[in-house]
Amino acid sequence: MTLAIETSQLSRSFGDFRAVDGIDLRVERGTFYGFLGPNGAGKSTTIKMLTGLLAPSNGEMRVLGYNMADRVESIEAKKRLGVIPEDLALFDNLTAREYLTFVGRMYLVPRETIRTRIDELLAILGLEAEEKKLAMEYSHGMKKKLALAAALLSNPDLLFLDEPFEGVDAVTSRVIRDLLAGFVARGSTVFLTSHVLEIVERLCTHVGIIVKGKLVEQSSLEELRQSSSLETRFLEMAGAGLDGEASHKLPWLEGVGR
Amino acid sequence: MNIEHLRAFIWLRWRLFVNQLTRGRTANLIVFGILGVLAIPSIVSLFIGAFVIGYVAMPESDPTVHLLVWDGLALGFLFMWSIGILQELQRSEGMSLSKFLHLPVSVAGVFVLNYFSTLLSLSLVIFVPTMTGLVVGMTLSMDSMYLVALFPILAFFFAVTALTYHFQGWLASMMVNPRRRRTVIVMITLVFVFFAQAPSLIHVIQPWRGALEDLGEKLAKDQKDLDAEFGAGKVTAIQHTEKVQESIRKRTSESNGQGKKLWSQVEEVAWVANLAVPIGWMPLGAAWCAEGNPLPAILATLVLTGIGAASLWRSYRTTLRMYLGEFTAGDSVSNPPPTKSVAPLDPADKVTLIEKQIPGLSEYATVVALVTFRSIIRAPETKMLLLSPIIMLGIFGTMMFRGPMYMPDMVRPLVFVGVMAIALLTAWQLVANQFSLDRAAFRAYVLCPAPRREILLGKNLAVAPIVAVLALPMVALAQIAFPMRIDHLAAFLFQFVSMLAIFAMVANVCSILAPIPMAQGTLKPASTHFLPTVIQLGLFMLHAGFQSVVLLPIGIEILLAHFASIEGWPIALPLSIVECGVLVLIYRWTLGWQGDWLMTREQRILEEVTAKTQ
Repeated sequence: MTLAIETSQLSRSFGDFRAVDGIDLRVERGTFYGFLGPNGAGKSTTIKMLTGLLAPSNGEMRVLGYNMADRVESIEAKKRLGVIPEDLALFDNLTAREYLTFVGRMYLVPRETIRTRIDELLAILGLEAEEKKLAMEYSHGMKKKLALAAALLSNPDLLFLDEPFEGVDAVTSRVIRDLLAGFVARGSTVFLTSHVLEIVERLCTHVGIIVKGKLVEQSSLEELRQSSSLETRFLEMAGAGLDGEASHKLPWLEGVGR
Repeated sequence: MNIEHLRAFIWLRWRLFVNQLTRGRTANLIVFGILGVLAIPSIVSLFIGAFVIGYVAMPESDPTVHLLVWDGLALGFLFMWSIGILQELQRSEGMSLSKFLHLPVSVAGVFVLNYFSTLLSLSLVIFVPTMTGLVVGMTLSMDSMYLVALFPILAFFFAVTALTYHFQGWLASMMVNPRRRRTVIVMITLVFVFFAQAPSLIHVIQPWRGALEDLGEKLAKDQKDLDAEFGAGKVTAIQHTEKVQESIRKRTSESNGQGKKLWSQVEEVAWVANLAVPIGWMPLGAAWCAEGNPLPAILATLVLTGIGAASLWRSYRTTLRMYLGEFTAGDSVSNPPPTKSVAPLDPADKVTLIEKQIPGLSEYATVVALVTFRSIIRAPETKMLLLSPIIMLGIFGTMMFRGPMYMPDMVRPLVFVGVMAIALLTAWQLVANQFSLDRAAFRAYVLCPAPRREILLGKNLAVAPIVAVLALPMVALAQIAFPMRIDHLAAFLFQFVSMLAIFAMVANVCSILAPIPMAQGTLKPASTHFLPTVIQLGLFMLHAGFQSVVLLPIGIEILLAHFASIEGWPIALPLSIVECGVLVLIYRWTLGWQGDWLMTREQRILEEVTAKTQ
């Protein structure tokens, strides 16, 4: 099977701090890849590098077979990518429809197709009543939905989603899950980060766990489950303490009164 | 509420202030350090300086001078205090009460603490010692009665701070909606800029100019007549000198009379204006104290204290209503409209601006141009920038039509180039820091597969109609005041394109090389670094120099007229057309390498424009 994402010793430092430390990712096409890690582990930095938002300090990376370090090839790759970056990429002063039209045109989607897809995406994501509001007036969840609509609009081969379920209501969460499952079912690839293990467990076929910038686990969910549950494995890898250990470290939290 | 709470609040305000300064790293830290070291000696110096003035100069002065000195101090304080309020309003982490209400402090406690913490401001640090020094100096040199003037001064500070606190609270409630927040900030800034420009406008218009200038003209006319008499041999040289001296004496006497009349008018206006505006009662009270009458000062104290107390009370009521959910800042509290069912758009529906196609342009350049244009037009901070030429229009308009001004035909095109330069310099920030204005949205450009030269082209084209609209009123005004030859007017159209091309080339370099992150919703830098700031300033000045190239055609025409007596030929027009063609070709060529350059630097630019604003 060909690879959608392949990295070799991919690293990124900020001054002395190594946010991503020589990771070797291998994501096969047609998989739903969940990229897990505690806060500050390097998940978003990795996605930024893979999508061309951030230059790596070291290492190589190929996305959909294109070398992202090469300017010409990275543009070719971008034509086939959909991305929800960590802090989104919305224009404050554009309405939802204007923003989606802009994105569609930047991917050279025909005008009529853009209109149809915008109508469908806004309706399915529950944004049709808010389409005339400016992005700056949207709540965080609505902004996430708009960013997802933009990522899907060009019908990409590979979706990078940084915390797509954060701040999204349960109904929309269900819609997004369905959309993504259908997207993968037709042979496309999703690479997502999430803090919600339950969602990863339900949706993903493969997982990678990053801790302190290092990729400590990478396998199919099936293989991982053979030894233990995803949560147990994740907590082990992330170095979490035993149940109840934290509260013992703060004895003044126990008991009533002061 | 207790003293610990007050200390914590004051510390919080101090911390926010320090963090804001230190975000700009070294340069800001150095400035802050210097200011910090100089603070106490400065306060002492202000007190001593004001004391000396009060002790030595003031006792001998006229009551109106007393009044005007206190007016000046009051206006200076109001001006500085307004700047502080503007900065406070633009701060992203405002001291909203909602951030404190979950803490173990009552609503009233939070309210009082927040009010007291607003008093920790540079304006008060400067003006309290200055005004106190002046009062103490005058008290020691004149009469102990003058010490009463301290009361209206304290009441003045209380009234202003309480009134603006109420105003700020009301604005804060208005600004809950982010769109309205930015509009409020823009309107407030615009009003402030207008008032700040008022002295400049008054200086340009010079309402008193008529009387004094007439006098000068009379003197010049006398001189001319006397010279003519002398030239005709009607008077001898001695008689001519005597008559000139007599004319000067007569006109000087008239002038002195006019000056006295003007001063008495100023006196009258000053006293009436102070009486009419409650803020002016502090200077009135202080001026009357100098005359030995403390009653106006006592009355001013009572009234200003009343205004302050009423403002605080109303402000507190508003806070309470907000806390109880009864305050809506004018918003309707009716139920939201039912969700409409959206029918799919008919393909034949009206094409929106973003969907339009600009002939001759690629899809990428078109959509970037349209989106950038729409964003600029909608963003209140850029609207404010674009409104600033109105002030210039007022100043130039007044200058142009104030009196007869002769300008040779050949020089008139220079006025038009100057007008165009003003429009371009106004729009400089829109292009020279174009990616910072996109902020988070710049990611969309980095992620997209568009050739970067097309992005630059689109962004440059978006600004062209804005520059045209900025320049048009001033060009029209200039054409009325100094009509140009028709061929020069036609040449100007090509010069316009040439100037735009130069502007875009230099500003693109600036935006790629030295992006400065902008705070959300404002045109204020989120952090200021030394090198990008220097590069921005340097390129800004270089740009002005580069623009002088467009003067070549008219320069050649002037030289030919002067040295070869070739006059009346439309030489500048064909030269401007050729120059315009050459510059457009150079622009097209530079777009290619600027696009490649943008591609290599886009990740660094993104880090710069987003990391510091989020």
